[in-house]
Amino acid sequence: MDSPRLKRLQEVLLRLAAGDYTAQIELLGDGDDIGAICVGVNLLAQELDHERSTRQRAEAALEQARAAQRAQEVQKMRSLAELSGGVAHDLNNLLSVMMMVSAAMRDPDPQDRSELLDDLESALQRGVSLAQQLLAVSVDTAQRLPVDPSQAVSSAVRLARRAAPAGVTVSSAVPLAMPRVAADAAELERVVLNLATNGLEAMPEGGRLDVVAVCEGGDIWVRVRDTGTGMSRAVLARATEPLFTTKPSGSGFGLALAYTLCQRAGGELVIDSATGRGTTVSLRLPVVSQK
Amino acid sequence: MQSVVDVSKGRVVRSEDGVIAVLWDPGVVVEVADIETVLEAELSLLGTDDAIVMVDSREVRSMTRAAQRLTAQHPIAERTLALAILIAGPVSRMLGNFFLNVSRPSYPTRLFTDEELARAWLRSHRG
Repeated sequence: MDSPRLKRLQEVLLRLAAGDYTAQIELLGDGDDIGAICVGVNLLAQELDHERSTRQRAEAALEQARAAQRAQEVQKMRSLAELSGGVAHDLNNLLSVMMMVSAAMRDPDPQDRSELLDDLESALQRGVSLAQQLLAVSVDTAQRLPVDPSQAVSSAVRLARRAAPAGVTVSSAVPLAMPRVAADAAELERVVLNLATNGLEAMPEGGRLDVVAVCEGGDIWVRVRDTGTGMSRAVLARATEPLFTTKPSGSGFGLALAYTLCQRAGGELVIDSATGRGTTVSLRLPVVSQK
Repeated sequence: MQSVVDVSKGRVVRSEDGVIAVLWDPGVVVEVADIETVLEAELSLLGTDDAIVMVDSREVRSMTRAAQRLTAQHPIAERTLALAILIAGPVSRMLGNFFLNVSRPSYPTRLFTDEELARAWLRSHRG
């Protein structure tokens, strides 16, 4: 009878049964049958411990992969939310223009009924274009054929002028024709209108909105300048982040969309702003061919 | 003529018949580090030849699972034609059976109680 070793063997077997695979039997005594059983139990415990460690590592890797997949899904949802917000923002601008035109059409003596109808038709066309882009959301479908930006900028200015509240003067200097840039005309018009609308909203006490388009060197610069409240450094640092807005009803997409347009066209977006000094947003769009 | 390499817990001997014998000292517990030194010794003795190996585990006190796995999975396994394990009592038999059935070496492996039979079996595997 070998009671100390058998007692120890029993203890270790109970620990193994309870799931403690680190249990090992001290090798007491010689290479007899009980010693062999002890050796076997130790090896079995080591094997179980190894298998469990392997399984835990595999489960951890699987969980990591699942977490990455969840993060990707969250990012997808966020992108979808950003897109929805951007679309709503654009739609809101278009509907504002339509309401302005509609209101003007009720005037018994409209200054230029034909021009109002043109503006209404233009806004409707942009709405259709927006819907088409939404349908093609999974891919970048904007048509970046070489386009003269002057028409898109002029059209945006005309719409902004109609949306301008009392006390705000809107002026523009846009050539009739300009060298072409790689941008979607409807997208460019939407971006300039967004920038102009931002400028108008930054001047609740009235002010001046200037839209200028010039060709400098090999680039087209479209500058939208307002004399409004301006941005603090902290706001300026985050201005192009999607969803970031300081306005209660803002979508946080105006500048984000402008940034994206410039990036896609191979240009850049420059914002110059300070609290109380107004804001100038400049789009630099490289010329792709001379007209 | 024999070639001998001393390792921390025994010796590795290459005899004239080409068999490489791993001779563990009595009462040792074989661990991964011990297997590593033995395998290095085997490689140095092999040169460019393939290996026929005899492990004398008759007086080994124990061997860890990791040491057994390394023996079975080391790159030298690709050059091992056959492995004979000498056993004498319950402990070495237990170790040998674990090695055969759990570590599952890819080369032919058998347990022997007689050294000459083991050597003869190994020589039959020499190309």
